[in-house]
Amino acid sequence: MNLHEYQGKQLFADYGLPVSKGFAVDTPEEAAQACKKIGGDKWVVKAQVHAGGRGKAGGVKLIKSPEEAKAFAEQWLGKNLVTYQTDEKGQPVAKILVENCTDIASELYLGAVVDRATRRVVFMASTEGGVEIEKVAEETPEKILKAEIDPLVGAQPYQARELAFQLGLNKDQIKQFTKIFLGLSKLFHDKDLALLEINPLVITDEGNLHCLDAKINLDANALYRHPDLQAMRDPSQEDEREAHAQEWELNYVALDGNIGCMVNGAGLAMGTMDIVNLNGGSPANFLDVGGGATKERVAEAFKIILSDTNVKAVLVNIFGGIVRCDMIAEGIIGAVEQVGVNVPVVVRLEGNNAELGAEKLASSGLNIIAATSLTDAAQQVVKAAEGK
Amino acid sequence: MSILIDKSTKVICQGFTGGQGTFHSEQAIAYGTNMVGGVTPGKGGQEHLGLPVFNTVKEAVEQTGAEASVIYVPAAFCKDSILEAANAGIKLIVCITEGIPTLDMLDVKVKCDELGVRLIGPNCPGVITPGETKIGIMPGHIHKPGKVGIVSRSGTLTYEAVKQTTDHGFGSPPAWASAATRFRGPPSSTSSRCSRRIRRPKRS
Repeated sequence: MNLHEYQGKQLFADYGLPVSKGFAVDTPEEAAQACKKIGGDKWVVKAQVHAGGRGKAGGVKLIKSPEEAKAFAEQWLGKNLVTYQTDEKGQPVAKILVENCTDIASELYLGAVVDRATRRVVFMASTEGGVEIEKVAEETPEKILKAEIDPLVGAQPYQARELAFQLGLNKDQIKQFTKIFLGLSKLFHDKDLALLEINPLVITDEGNLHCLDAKINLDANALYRHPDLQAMRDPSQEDEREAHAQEWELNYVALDGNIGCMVNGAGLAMGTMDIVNLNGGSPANFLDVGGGATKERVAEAFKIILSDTNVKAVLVNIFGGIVRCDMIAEGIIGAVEQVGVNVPVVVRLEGNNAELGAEKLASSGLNIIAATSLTDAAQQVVKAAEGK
Repeated sequence: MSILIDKSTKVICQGFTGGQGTFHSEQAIAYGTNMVGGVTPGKGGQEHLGLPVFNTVKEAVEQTGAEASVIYVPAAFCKDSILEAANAGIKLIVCITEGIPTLDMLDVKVKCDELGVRLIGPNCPGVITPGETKIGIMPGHIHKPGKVGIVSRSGTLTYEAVKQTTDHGFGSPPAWASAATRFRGPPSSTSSRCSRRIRRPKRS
C-alpha cells in the first residue's frame, strides 16, 4: 500500500524530521486560506497522487499569491494527473498540498528498501538528488552509496556518518543527517515499511537539511498491526479491479494483452503467462486465485477478468493440490452462467479430482474448451483469442 | 533418495490442533511421515490424532526427540513460533503460512542462520521425499520416486514441474518449494548443497 506525500510527511514530522509547514486541502478556497495560515510570500502547491514525476507533468507549482493557489486547486481537484509513472488515464487528484517554499542550494537523495539479496533494510544515499534515481543507478552506480541495517542491532550513528562524509556534508549537516537517518530507520521498523524515499533531500540556502518529498510504501502483510496506517488508505489511487480483487484475497494485476488468465498460485500464474507469450499470445492480466481457491473466489475472479473489455479469450489453469478440481469446475460453471460469457474459455484442470472436474465442464453445455496440458491450453487459447 | 528428510525423520507440528494443522497432519500420517506429536500452547497433556500435544516446542523436543517442525500458525504469530522452534533445538523448520510481515522474517533469518537452523518457507508447500515422508501440504500422490530433484520458489509451479517430470518417466524426488514471498527462504548455498547431493550417486 502506498501513502500520499502529505501522509508521509505527517509521519516524518511525528519522528522529528525536518519537513515544510503545510496543509493538505480539498477545495480551492482552503488552498488560498492555507497560504495565509502558513504566511510568507512564496509557496509550493503539489497535487497529491500515488505517482512520481509530478513536477514535469505540471502537478507541482511555485506560486506567489493565495489566488494562484486557488487557481491551481481549481485546475487540478477532481482531474487526473498523468505522469511517466501512471497509465494514460492518470491518477485522480483529490487533495492539494500547500507548503511554504524552501530555498534550495543543492539536492540529495535518501531512500531505504528491504533488499532481497542481503535480507536487510538497505539505505541508499546520493548526491544526485531531484532526478530519476533509477537513471543514476543505471548510468553512474558509483554515485549510489549504501548502508545495510543489521536487523538485531538497528541503524547506528556511524553508518550515518559514513554516508554523510561521502556526501561531502559539513559538520552541522552531518549531525542533521545522522538524526534524519536514525529517525527514518526507526520509522521504517516501527511502521513496517517496504520502501521509503526522500527525493530530494535538500540543503537549503542556510545550509540545513530538509525533506522536500516523502514517498512511502507499506508492507501490506503487516497492516494488521497498524490501524493508523490502514486509515490512510486511498482506494481512489488503486486500479478498481485490483482493489476489488484484493477484497476477495485475489492477486490481480491488469496488463495490456487480450487473454484473461486465471491460475492458482503466483509461480504457476507467471509460468502460464510465459507459455502464453511463447505461443504468440499476450496476457490481459496476472491473476492468482491462491493455493486454496474456493468456488466463490473462482466466480469472483471470473467476473474481474471479464470486466476488462480487452479480453478476447480466457485461460483457466488450475493445478489442484489440496483444492478439488470438481469444485473449481462448479465455480467456473456458476460464474459463466451468472456473468454471461461471450468469449471462448479454455480450461485446463490437473491434479485432485481433475477427471470429475472435466466431466462437469463437458456436461455443462457451456462453450468451454478442455485442454489436456499447459502447452495445449496455451495453444488453444491463443488460437481462440485470434478468433480461429 | 532423500536429502533433507527421510522416513525416520521425527516431525512435530506447531498449530497442531487447529484446522490446517489437523487436516495436513492427518494427510502426513497417512502418507507415512513419522509424526511424533504437536504443539498448541494451553493444550499440553491432551492427545490429538493419536499423538501427544505439548505446551511448548522445548517440551516436545525433550520428550519425543523431534528433529523437524512444520508450522501452520497464523501469520501474526509465525515469528514467535519459528524462533521458539529454532531455540528449542529443531534443525529443520518448515513454515507453510503465507503473509508474514517482511521485517519479522528479517529478524528470524538472522537467528536461524546463527543457530544453524534450516528454514524452508515461509509461504511454501513444504518438503517431500516421495514414498517416504512429507512435511507440508503438497499432494502426495503426484510425487513418484525417481531421478530428478526439484527445488522451486512456488507451490503449484512445483506440482507442475513434478507432474511434467513424472509424465516423462523421470520421477521426482525429492521436491521442496519455498518462499514465494518477498525474499527467499533457504540460502542459495542450501539449494546448491542439496543440488550437489542430488547429483551425487546413491550411497546405499
